[in-house]
Amino acid sequence: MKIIHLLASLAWLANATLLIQCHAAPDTNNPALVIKAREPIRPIPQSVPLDPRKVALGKKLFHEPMLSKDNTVSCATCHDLRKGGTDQLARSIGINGATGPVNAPTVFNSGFNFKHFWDGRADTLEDQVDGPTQANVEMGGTWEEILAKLQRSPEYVASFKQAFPDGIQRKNIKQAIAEFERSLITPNSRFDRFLRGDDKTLNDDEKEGYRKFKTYGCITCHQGVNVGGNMFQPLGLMGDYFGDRGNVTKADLGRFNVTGKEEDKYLFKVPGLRNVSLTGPYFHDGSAKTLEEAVNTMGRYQLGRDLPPEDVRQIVKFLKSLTGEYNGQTLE
Amino acid sequence: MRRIAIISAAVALVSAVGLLYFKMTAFSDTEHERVQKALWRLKHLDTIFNEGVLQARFGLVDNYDDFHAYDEELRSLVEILNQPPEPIDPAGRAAIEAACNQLVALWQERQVLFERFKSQNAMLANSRGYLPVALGELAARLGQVPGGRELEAIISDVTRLTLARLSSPDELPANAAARMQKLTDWCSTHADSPEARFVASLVRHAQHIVTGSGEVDGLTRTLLALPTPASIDRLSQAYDREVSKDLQRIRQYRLLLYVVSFLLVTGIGYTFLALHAANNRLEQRVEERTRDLARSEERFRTLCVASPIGIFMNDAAGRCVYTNPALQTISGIVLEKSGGEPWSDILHPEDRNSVLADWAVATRDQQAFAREFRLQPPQQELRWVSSRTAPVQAGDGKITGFVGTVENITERKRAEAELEVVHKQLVQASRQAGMAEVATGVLHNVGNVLNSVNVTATLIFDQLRKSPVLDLERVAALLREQEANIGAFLTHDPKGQQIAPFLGQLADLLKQENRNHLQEIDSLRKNIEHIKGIVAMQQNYAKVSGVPELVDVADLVEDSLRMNASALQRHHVEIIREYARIPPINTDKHKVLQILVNLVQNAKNACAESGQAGKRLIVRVANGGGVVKISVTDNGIGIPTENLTRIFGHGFTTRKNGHGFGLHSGALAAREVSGSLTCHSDGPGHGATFVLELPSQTPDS
Repeated sequence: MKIIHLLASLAWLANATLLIQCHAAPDTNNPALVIKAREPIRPIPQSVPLDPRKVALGKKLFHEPMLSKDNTVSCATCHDLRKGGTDQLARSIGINGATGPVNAPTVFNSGFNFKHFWDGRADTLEDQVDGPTQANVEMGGTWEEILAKLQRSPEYVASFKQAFPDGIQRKNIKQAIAEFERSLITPNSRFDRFLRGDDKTLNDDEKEGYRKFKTYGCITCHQGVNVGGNMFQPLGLMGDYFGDRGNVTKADLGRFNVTGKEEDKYLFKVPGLRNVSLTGPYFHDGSAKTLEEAVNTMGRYQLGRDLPPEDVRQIVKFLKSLTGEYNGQTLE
Repeated sequence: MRRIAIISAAVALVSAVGLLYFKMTAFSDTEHERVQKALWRLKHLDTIFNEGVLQARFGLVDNYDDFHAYDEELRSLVEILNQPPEPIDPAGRAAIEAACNQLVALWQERQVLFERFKSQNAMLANSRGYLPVALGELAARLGQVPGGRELEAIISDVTRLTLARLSSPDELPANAAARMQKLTDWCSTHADSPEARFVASLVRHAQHIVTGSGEVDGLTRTLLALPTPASIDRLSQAYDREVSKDLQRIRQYRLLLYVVSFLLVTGIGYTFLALHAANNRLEQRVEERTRDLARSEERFRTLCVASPIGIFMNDAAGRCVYTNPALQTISGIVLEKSGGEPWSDILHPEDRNSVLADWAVATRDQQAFAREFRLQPPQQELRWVSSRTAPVQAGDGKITGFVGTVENITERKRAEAELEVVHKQLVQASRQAGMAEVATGVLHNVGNVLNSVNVTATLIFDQLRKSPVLDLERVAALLREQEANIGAFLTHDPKGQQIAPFLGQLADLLKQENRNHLQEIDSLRKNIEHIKGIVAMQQNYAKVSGVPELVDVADLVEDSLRMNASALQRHHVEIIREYARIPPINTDKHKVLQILVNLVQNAKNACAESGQAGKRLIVRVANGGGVVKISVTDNGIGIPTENLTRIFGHGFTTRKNGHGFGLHSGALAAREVSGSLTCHSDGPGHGATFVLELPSQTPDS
């Protein structure tokens, strides 16, 4: 019996070895392709499959002020691709100088988020488009207005006809913009290169920062491709964030505004930390001006303690290594 | 009618097969596979999801990205399954849709639970991960802390508690709250201790583990207890029912298909056999025809091979496809083996252009070609050929080629050349013969006249032989004896006395004799003159016609009768003359005379041969209608009707010693003087009439 068991084990081992060889062999030639196993953060893929016509149209629409009521604000106004996909303001400014209720999150890598908006009220990027375009303090228009404006432009009529058989439609506008947003990925950050096996790309501080990021448990929420963006968490798990800050607004209720459940109060979508050094100020209220401040706040309210400054410094160093490339250019 | 029925049946069967096949394949294997794959994947994903939940619960999952992907895939799978394949009936569709909706509702429920699970589980993991860190930090400080031992005891108690909570999630250890409270109390009593912050943090995390793990476990249980597998099974069963219904239907269709196919195959088999039989018959016929054709072909080929005449065949494009050996011999080349148009090379240079032009016209107009020309094969002697071609038409009238013959006519040409020589000789000969004929004519006519000349000469000879001139000689001799006394003698002597009357008598006789002689000599002179005329006339045959002169027709007729007078007298032929008074006509006297002499002679002969008494010859001269008619009628042997047309032919005669020239030359002469010679007879024994018509006024006059 034992011999049979041993033989079986050997056979399984041989098979496993073979399988590993088969699957691993092509990758060992290119160190960049060897992704560090067992790391909670996954590298951003080099490309995602998309329809280039829709992407092109979406890009145009994304930068189109006509989508706003007074033709002054486009998506790119608050999600400036030159500013890490944000406006680098605590609160965004919409039409007529109105101020938004929350900080504008980056549009980069938004395709990797499981839901959209801080309260996760949109399941898809397409649904997300409905939000800013209709919000009074953002672009403030209606779909009827937007459709009418686009219909008047022969250029848009032609471009839509090319990308969609049924031409200019509400759903097509949303799909085109979403398709463009899905194209906004920032691969090849130094940290991703590290994940793909290039140990030298991170210095010791950064490596140590990553280790502490994991040790302090940041990683339990900030994991996956987008280093977050795949769950809701209460802000102030181990402390009374809003009590300390004061002046609680409706927006501070977070997920509760969507579900109406008491348990969802102050729950927010965990933001992804990709390119995080470019996307400040931080948190839904834009209260943290610097990364150090944000890390300290996180330690205080999510972990329930003050983090040593050295650890904060190293963690910030690590976070800065998450800045990737868009269209082959490192974001600045 | 039967044919239409068969075709309709075949069409119906084929359509039935097609329809059944189409119906059978409606819920196709690919559709079935798509559904089955989706169902399988759905189950698989559901399992993976639940497994993932469990793994997450035990900290075996380090990121939650995959769950989002599972969720998206699950939704798309349900979308696929919510589009049932076409053949499923409305009831089945409704069942499937209901099952799908139930599944979606369950998922939404699960999604809400799972979001909570994720948050809670992450928090738990956070505390679980942070606990050793916090404990480590605290342990390092405890030595320096007053009352550290007590705290250490409490902490180790709380640590045990949390570990126990983590290891057995089902039940909350006894007095957990009290133990936690101790730690909290410590914090409140040592609020100003620098360790209080660490302890408070530890307490919160420990509390979180104690309470949070229970909640996470509850969520895990609820998540795993969600009846998604049952819901998927229901969907699967809904599909299975529909598939089995479809299979049942397909089985029925298949059975039907088998029946229809069997019918079709039987039909095809029957048709095939019938076709086979028909084909066999056809083949047999074809074989027979081929055999006939081969025989015909063989015959043709043998004929062609044996034929001394060259035969060739061209296709529609004008290329030679066959030549027989004879043609190869004639042409000296094998045309069908040499490309292009080498046949033009062997044409004789003088004929080449015209032959090619004719050939081009013939081929262009698709007409027959026939001509003779010369060939000059290389290193061979020239030959004459006669070629004929004809277009070969197919059934539809299209020209499929040309077939032609080429005959070597070199021999014929040579023969023709020879013939020409012979002909020339013959022409020469016939000219000589003609001269002979002329001579015969001359002899005949001259002969006729010579008869008269002979008769006249004989007459003169006899008269002269019996001439009293001899008596005169004796008187002269008597007188010479009595020369001395001539007077006495004449007066006295008895003999002398008789001399004077004798001389008177003799003078009368001589006078008579002289007159006769003159008459005969005049006849002789006329006959000789006629001979001269005949000869001159014969000379005119070869040259121009005789000189026309004004002649009296009656005189001519008399002349002709006179020429034959002796013969007519000899045969006791009575001559009846019926001459109308007519003015002289301008004609060739000798030709007319010759005709008339012949006519009179023939009439005399006809009378003589009849041997009857009362031989009669009627000669009439009449005038009328610009024509002078001279008719010679006899009551001789007559002419049989069949001979009436032949009588003027050369060489025709009924007499033993006749040479068949008289009437022939007579007819010719009549034509030469612009007249005509005709003949009439009521048959043998009824005599005959020959009529010579002469123009009363010749164009010359």
